[in-house]
Amino acid sequence: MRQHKLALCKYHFLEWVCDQTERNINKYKLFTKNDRVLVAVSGGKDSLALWDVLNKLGYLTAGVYINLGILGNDLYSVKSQTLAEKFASDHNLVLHISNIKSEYGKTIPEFSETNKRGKSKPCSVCGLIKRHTMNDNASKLGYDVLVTGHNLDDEVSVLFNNVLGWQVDFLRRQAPFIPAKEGLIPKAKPFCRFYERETAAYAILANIEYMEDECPFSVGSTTIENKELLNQLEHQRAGTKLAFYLKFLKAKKDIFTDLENDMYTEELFPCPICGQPTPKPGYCTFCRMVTRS
Amino acid sequence: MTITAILRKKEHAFEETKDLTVSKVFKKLGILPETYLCVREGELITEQELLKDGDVIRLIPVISGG
Repeated sequence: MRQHKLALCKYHFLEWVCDQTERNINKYKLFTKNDRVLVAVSGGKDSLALWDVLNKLGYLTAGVYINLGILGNDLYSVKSQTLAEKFASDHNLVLHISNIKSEYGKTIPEFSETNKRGKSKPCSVCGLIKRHTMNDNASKLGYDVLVTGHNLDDEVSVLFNNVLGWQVDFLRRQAPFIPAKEGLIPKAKPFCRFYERETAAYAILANIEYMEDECPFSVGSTTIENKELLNQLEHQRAGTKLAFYLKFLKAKKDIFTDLENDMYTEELFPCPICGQPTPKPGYCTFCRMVTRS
Repeated sequence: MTITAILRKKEHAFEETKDLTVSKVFKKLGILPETYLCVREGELITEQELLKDGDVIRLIPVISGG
């Protein structure tokens, strides 16, 4: 790990990942051992590694898997659900499963075809549906916090994109912890300081069977293009990605002086159908999409 | 004898195996070490690892997300 000037054997690396995760949880005040933690599980390396680490650390966890109905040549959703179920069963953990087609009548590719948002690519529709469904599950099932496996590369890629477009509101909300708001469960990212390479190494070394194949729709996505660019910078100067993220978190306190009081600047209104908050009175974007489609 | 690298389900054979390390394989294939891990016989190996005749290595992509 050039960025940390650290080389560890298998045993100590696995221990280091657990220790650093615990440190992140405490540093950013993400949750405690008394909280009921819902882990958003995709079947990929990050979410399964995170679930494994939180379980080893003794947190009260369960998982939620969302079947998006994405098939492609590798039967993406079928395989990823099987891997998520296998992990839960092997570790004797509870996994809640949501199926987009059964619950809302269409798969992600089908929603994408009939919606303006997803005309060119279903990623935007997919993100919207996943955010809604994860929050819905966490609220209805009575969990205290929803955690995702976002790693440093994910965070840095989004940060890079938000800086390129000067998306001030998105920059304001980008953080390891998003506090609760009426209708929104708090969200936490305990892996936000780990390089993607480190979470993959953890999954391999801990013998976690994960979905190696990428979502067929992710080819050419902005996230992946940004990650490739940022990795070129990282290759030339180790530690660039970590410094970019950590210095941003530090600078945020100076840029957004009222962050302590409220992370959301705009007024939010409850959607009359689902109750989740929306920036304008009336149906939220998710419910508008589902009712129109 | 050769060294075989499997990258995204495609096999790449290397005939010149003397002093071949994982790092050199990455370079020959034009990939950044930041974006892949290397596994030999189920074990994760580092970039500095010296490969030997007959080795079959699997290069695992670490970039994900859409």
